[in-house]
Amino acid sequence: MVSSPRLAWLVLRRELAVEAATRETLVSVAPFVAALVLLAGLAFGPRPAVLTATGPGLVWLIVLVAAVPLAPGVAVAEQQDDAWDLLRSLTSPSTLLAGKVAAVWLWLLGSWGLATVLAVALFGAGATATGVAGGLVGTLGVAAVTVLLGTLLPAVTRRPGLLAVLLLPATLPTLVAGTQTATGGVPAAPWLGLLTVFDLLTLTVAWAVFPALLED
Amino acid sequence: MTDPTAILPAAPAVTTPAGPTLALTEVCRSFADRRVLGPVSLQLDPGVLAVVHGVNGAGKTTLLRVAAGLLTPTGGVRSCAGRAVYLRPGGGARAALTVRQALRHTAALAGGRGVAADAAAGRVGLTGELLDRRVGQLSAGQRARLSAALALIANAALVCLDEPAAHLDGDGVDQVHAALTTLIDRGASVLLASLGPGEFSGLADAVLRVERGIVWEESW
Amino acid sequence: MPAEQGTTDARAATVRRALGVGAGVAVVALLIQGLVLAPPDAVQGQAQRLMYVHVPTAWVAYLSFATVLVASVAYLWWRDLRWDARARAAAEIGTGLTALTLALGSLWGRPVWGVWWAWDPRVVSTAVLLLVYVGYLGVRGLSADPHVNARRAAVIGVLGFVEVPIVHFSVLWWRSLHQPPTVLRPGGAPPIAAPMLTALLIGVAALTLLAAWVYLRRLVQLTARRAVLTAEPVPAAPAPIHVRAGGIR
Repeated sequence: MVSSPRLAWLVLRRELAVEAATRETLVSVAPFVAALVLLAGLAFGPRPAVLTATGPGLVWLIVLVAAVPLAPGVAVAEQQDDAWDLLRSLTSPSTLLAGKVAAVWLWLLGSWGLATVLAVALFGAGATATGVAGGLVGTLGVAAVTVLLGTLLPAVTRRPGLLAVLLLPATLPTLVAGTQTATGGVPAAPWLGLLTVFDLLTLTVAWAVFPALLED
Repeated sequence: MTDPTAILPAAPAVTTPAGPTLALTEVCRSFADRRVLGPVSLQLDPGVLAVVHGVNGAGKTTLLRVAAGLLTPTGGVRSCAGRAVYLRPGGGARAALTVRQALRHTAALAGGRGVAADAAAGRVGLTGELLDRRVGQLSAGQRARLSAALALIANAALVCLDEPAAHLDGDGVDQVHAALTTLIDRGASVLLASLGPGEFSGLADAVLRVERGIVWEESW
Repeated sequence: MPAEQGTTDARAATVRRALGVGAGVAVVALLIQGLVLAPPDAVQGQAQRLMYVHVPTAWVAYLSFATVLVASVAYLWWRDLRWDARARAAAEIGTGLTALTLALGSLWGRPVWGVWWAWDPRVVSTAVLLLVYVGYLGVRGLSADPHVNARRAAVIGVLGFVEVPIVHFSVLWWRSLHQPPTVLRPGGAPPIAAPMLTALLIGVAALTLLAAWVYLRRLVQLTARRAVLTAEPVPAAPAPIHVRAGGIR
């Protein structure tokens, strides 16, 4: 018998292997993030003061929007390869959830990192330690919601906008709190606290309902 | 009728439990308020092969998926002593991974070691440069054999194979035969679905027929 | 069994009728109290009368949401589709009322405070609530299998209910970052005049009764459809099969 932590790690390792083989996430999300920053600059600028002020919020808005294309990688891509059944049989709901959330967390950290670097470079926004902490903590909660919704929605959905309608309001606290942790002159501790509570709550709900979602 | 306890599986690699591996008791399954399976009462002992045949839409796949625990019965009770897997030909692996990667990742998840993955690949004739080819680039027959290898690696007490001989030529069928023999010898129970009784009846301990969701045993 | 069912149905119908009559009476009372007997507000004028409907719709919308939560958890626990029907009916009513709350709030806000919208935690939370409801109902139509739809919807129902309070707090803190012009006067509102309070309370009663009546009628519709579908006979089970090594039996 494989221990639970090891099983979760093996699920993550498999996700990393698939990503290394396809570069699917990198190729679809990175240019998307870059394009959004560029367009936002044109929409909100050119006054530097406005750009600096909107920088932190833009980063988090992009992280949330870029989570939408990550959802199909959770279950739909597995189903399309007919690999979902075997994966479910070899793991338990908790370990599958943990592995998938860890993977999506890594992809979201990538989006956040790229968006932050571009915001610093193109928007003149500052990077702070609390902003980095906010990035680490905030993306975890978004990852949990993304995995939950990614498992919930099937491949051929007749209502494609549905994922966004479900994901974006659910991650609103992360948007608000994350932005504040990255904004200068704002005490970050309560916002980091809010992010932590949001993460704990979302992970708990995800852990509780995931077995029901895996059923057929 | 010989005493069943006198027939012991040869040198099992997996210790077999005392009771049946799979027990379905009055199991039903409905889809959108239409009954598609059941009531079914079926027990499989360790180390047996049961072949299930029936026309398309009869309920073979539903039976296998319920047995494997992937579909929850809408009525009745399912119990399984250990892990159960369900495999279709071509299924079980991500298309982007190479054959070797797919086998190794599955072996790791199943609790095996790398050597088991390589041995399984050899057993179904996936050798040499095929191991480095991406799963998505394999032919249908090669993917079917990969699925058989995954069944060997999965380290499961119950293996449900859905039409494993589809897409396979004579050699391929022989390799699946060999894989099935290995599984049974190791004490796993196998539930195998095919359109007709066909290729695997000789190896089977029982032949079952599914008709409109009801499972019958065939005397022979 | 059918005789018992008939009595239960008759009793349920009586309750519904009583609720309907009660709702009708309360609505009439609300119209009289709210439009005629209560005086117009000293500051806001006639527009303030919208409050007698706006506040009750918000209250019943939140009540519906709580019902969706309870019914969703109950479905996930017992897998009984009747709980799913209860959740669905509550969500349908809740969606309409939430949209109405936002619309009335806008209509009230425009003449009184000059704005169609306020970035106030209650307003934003209500808008998020509407999105969650819309998502909840949207998820229902994706599969032909009612259990799959019910499961997905129940997960959204639970997730949504857990997230909305956090959403509210986030916006509350966000709002407090800068001193905003007091558009909606979060605290320290002057005491409300007695006829106005009466109108408000009648409004709450009227809308609750009306919503309950619509809810029960909708439940009847949803469960009647199900009763027709589940009348299929179950065939007799053939003999149990036990596969042992070496052959059957």
